[in-house]
Amino acid sequence: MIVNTGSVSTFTFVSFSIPKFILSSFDYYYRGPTDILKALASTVSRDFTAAHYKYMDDPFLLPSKSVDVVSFTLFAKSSFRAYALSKESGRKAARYFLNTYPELFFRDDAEPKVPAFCYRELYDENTDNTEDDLRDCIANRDVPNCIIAYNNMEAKDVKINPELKQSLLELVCFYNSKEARDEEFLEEEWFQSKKENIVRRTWQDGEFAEQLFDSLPKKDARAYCTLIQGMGKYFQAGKAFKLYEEMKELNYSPTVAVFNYLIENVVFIQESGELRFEMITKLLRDMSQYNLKPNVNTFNAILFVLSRSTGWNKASNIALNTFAEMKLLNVQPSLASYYYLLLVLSSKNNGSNILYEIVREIEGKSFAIKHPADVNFFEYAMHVCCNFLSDVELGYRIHNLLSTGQNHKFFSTAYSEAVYYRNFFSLLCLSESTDTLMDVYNKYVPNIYIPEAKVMQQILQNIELYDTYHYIPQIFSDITTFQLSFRGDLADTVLTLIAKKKHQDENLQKQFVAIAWSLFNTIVERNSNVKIFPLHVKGEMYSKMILIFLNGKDFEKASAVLKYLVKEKPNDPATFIEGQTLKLLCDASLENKMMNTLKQTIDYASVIGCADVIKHIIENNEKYSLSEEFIEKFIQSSNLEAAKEDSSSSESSEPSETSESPDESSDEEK
Amino acid sequence: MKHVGVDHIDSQYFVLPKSANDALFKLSGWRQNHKQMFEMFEETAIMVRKPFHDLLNYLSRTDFERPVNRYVLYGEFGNGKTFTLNHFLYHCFLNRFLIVHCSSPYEWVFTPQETAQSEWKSGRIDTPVEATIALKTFKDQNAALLSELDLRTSKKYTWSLRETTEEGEPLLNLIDYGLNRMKKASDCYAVLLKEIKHWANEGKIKVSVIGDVVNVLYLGESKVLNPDKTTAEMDNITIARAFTKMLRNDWKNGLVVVAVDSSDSFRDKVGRLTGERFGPDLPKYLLTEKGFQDLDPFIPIKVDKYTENEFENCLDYYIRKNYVNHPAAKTEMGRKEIKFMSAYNPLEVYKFCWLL
Amino acid sequence: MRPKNLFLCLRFQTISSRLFFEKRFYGIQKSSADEEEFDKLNIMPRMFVKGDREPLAKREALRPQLTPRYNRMPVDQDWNSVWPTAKMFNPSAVPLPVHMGKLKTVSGPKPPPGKFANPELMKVPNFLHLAPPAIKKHCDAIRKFCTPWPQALTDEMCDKYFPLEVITSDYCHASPTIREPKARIITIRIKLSSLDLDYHAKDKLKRILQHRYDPKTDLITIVADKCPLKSQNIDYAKYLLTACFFEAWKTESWESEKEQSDWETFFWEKSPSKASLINYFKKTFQNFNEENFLEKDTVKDYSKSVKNLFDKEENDELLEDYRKNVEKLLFDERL
Repeated sequence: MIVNTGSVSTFTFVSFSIPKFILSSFDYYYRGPTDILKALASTVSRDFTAAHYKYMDDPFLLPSKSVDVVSFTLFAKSSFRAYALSKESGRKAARYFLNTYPELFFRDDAEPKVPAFCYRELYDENTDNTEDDLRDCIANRDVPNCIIAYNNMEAKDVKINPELKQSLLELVCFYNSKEARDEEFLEEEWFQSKKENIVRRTWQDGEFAEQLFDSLPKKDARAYCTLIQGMGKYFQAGKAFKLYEEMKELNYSPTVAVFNYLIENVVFIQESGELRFEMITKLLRDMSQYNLKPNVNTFNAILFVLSRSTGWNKASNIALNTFAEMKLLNVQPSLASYYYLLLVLSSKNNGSNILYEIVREIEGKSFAIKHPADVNFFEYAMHVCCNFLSDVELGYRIHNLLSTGQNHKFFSTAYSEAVYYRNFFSLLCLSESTDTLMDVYNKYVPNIYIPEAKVMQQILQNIELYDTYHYIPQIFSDITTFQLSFRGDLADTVLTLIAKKKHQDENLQKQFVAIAWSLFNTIVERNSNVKIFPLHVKGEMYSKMILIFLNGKDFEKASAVLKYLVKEKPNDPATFIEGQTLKLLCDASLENKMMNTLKQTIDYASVIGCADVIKHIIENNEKYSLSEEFIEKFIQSSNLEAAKEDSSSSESSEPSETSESPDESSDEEK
Repeated sequence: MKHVGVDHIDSQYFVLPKSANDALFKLSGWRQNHKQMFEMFEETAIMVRKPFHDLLNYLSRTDFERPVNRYVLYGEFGNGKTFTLNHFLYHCFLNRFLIVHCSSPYEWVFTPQETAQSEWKSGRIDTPVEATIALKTFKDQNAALLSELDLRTSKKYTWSLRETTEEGEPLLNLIDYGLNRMKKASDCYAVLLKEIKHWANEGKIKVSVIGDVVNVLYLGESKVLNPDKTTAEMDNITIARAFTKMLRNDWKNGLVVVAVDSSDSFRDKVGRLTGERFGPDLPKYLLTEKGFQDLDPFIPIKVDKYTENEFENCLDYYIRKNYVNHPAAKTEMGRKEIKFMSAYNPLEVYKFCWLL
Repeated sequence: MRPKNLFLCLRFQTISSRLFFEKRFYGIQKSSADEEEFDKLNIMPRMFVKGDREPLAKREALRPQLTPRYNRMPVDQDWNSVWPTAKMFNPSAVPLPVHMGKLKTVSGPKPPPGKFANPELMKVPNFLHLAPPAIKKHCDAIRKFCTPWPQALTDEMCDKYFPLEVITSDYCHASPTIREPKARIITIRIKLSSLDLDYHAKDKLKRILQHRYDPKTDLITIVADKCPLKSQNIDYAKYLLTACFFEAWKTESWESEKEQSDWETFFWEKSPSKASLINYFKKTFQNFNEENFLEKDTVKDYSKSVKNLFDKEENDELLEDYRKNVEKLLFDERL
């Protein structure tokens, strides 16, 4: 660039070059309109502290109820599912109103127009359709409109371009003459309770696709290929093979995709593994005759057939040979190939080791989806790793692979994601220390995964094993938040854990008392409310609670539990607490000089028939220097003659001995 | 020129004799809180400070054949401008200057007790009470000198059909006439100042014009109402106009010492004129453009807050007078705290010690 | 139609006939008990019969809530991922004890409210997405789209050869339309010193531009938003600048009439200060020569200090300077 400065008489020339971006010979590539946005987006990694962006980022509006893999009924109640689906149903409702009352939506500020937000016209028999209409419909993948438009045009003898007819055939074959799935609404599919492995015939016989094919004046190779592929996709095996034979007779050459579908459909033609493989070999030979090279989906189809015939003893060998062939032809396997291989080999106990080799092969790679079965790999690999191999090292390697690039998207449903994480956590609970486990836990809970009751139980077991009780308050608060407290015997497990021993750390002990107290309150609240399904709590749990309160030197709370039992459940044998606990409670009430509680305890003991308690008091009366009268009065008031008799000859009786020993130990602890 | 005066020791208190105080500041000069303080201390004590010495220094260098010099004292509110002015006034008194003193011009232009239309010239406004006070003050302050010098009028003044002041009458007669006829007091004061100017130019007398808070005279509008309910301009108030004329340098054998101040009531007024709520305490800003034009060239003299030495002396004096009684105030820490709380501002020191 | 019948119409199809009769009976009973009153439309009578069932909302409220997610954030997390773009303040996602706003209560002032349920924090735009590390990352990411800066083109050369700066903005929203009315607003900037002006024109241009000229940075800034399109606004702003430039060169007849209050700077030569000084010396000395007098250093110093008093902000130093110069003139000046 040359710039002129100064006056007319004197010129000063300064020159410098400004590089021209697009035309330059630098190796910069052409910049698309969204490339900068994409580059900026690449700076953002996954935020594990946030829930998926479809949820409102607010503690009151985030889902907290778990996906329970064990029982599907509870899975249906998951708030993840409810929130996401209600959002989607809102969108559906909006779509419904747009389609029903299009005249109300005359204001559209969008510029340029967004076709997805516009009203889609529905054709009927009276519409005058042209080729352009049909072309538009095909471009928009609007199958019902296509069919109506085509029929209208046929009825009015409008001439249709054969090329257009071919693309229409491709469309209806791909979608099985049904309406295409709307990609706006994916939540429903994501939250299916279990994605079925649909391997059954769903092809609509004699529907529009076949009618169209029949009406074609000149059926060329492409038309045949299209129809065979459609039938193969929806597993109409018989007709597909028949058409294939026709094709061969007419000397038309099929495509690789045709063979891929035919190989998959072998499953429906032959029953035994051996016959199936024979047929596959025949098809492959045909392929080589037509000079066609197999691609990754060909091998996936072969492996699919093999995975369906695991009973055949040669299946695993052939699967490995297929893989070797793939290597030879330099075909890059997809995740589905590994999934099928794993399926074939892991059915035999010795074959699971193949997982090590698979992981070694694909470690550090980021995958793109190539085959519908790709999404099953991670779920199944973790399943094998956890349930067959129990190797935490391998588990970490699989998980690292999942964290690589965009691999974490390889889940087809929320269910399979939950299964993956359940297996991963189970594996960790079995073989890792609590500190490591909790690091992972804090990363994924609650936004990616909410542990089920069973996994929580495993975590608690891990805590017990490694003696890391300081994690219990956090875990318990999560249990409450995820509303798992009374799922299974989780509450019982927590109480057992913290009642197990008296903790030195006073602060921790206080927290434990708080946990037990909140559980007790929940029970009281739930059981006092007629409208809610009541909780059936066993006596052991009450006695554990009392024990925890006594360990935490919170006598009032301990007596509150007893009072509740006496008042609300006097005659329920299921809630009777253990004599050992009652004895401890007596000691504590004597120590605190709470005679009312003492009386209540003894009364309760008499009701549930626990005679040892009185005996225990009489034996230990020196320690508390109780007067004879006092004891006399007590025994009278409690009307326990049997106990009195027992106490008179108690020195030699066995139960008293057993009752003494734990008492002493508890005194020592005090 | 040689000065007559007591021996002024720097930053020490100088006690004004009671007789002089009565003569000079009977009607005006000290504000109410000053009087209260003097009553409490049973003496009129003024600290000898740097601005006073500056003034003495300038006085000694003055060539009285030249037009008068103007000195403008400025400084924060409470720094002692009025004390310096009055101290200097006493000094002028001792040195036989004729004193023209105006201690509260804001009373003339903002809160006159009475107003009347001038009979001499329509549009002018007389303030009889204020004019009488001014005359009386002048008479009190210069009684001895007037009788001694025997000044006479240079012109004939006709007050009304019957009343005239002949040429060559003593000035005292003129003053007495003004004092007797309140209605004519404003005009009398104006005539008096004119005569003084005349005699000073003749070289018969030396005049010292002393004014406090004179910046209010340059604010343009007064709060006095014309008969048609519009506010009168400053220049239309007879005595203010006459006094402002004295501040110009079109005469000789005299000196002008004025103070400018920004105590809150005037600050508001200035703020409204200049658009600023709180301007600085500096003379150009306070005098406004008009005042600056009138006084330029003048000598600005800053009256600063206490120096360390002055502060110590002040507190010693307060303690000596039992004004400060609190034992803690007499300790080193107590002094430091008073210093800190008052930021060396004399008025703040006084106010703060009020509680001790 | 009587409302009772309407109620019957509203029942669900699956309701058994027994229930149906129960309800009808209930309805009749109600109407017979209170003949005068208009019958109530009872859409879900089962709820009414049971009566003591808690409303759903209340039961939902008892549901335990998650703790705010900042509690689970690790200290060394990647903040850029948590807060990637500009968005409204979200208290549960920001691990900072932010306070904002003012509480006026009867009992006296309170500390500013915290971040939860604080509309003040939601109203203001925040810059949590523009932490320095985030900006650095963004720069690194889009660096590959940039070409190197021409080596020869230094900043000084830019100022010299490309004095005019045009600032435009583009907006990208997640909204149905790609149009943004704010995109039409443009700003042009140019340094006053880069324009070819004499003293008068410079002064006049400053007066024409008013607040659009910043004396501190010497920049002229013109913002244009009159026209609907960006390019039109750029043209318009350039036109404005050109018009101002040529207007500044003109000298109108009335420009000679400006008074002291119109002066861009204090001219002592024309000021009353000079007049009063000369007046003073005329009175003092008989043989006063004005021209010689004005040449003197003391007078020049004095004029400078008066000019400073007017042009600069008045302060003690300037006054002290003024005092010294006045002193020299009043006491020591001889002819």
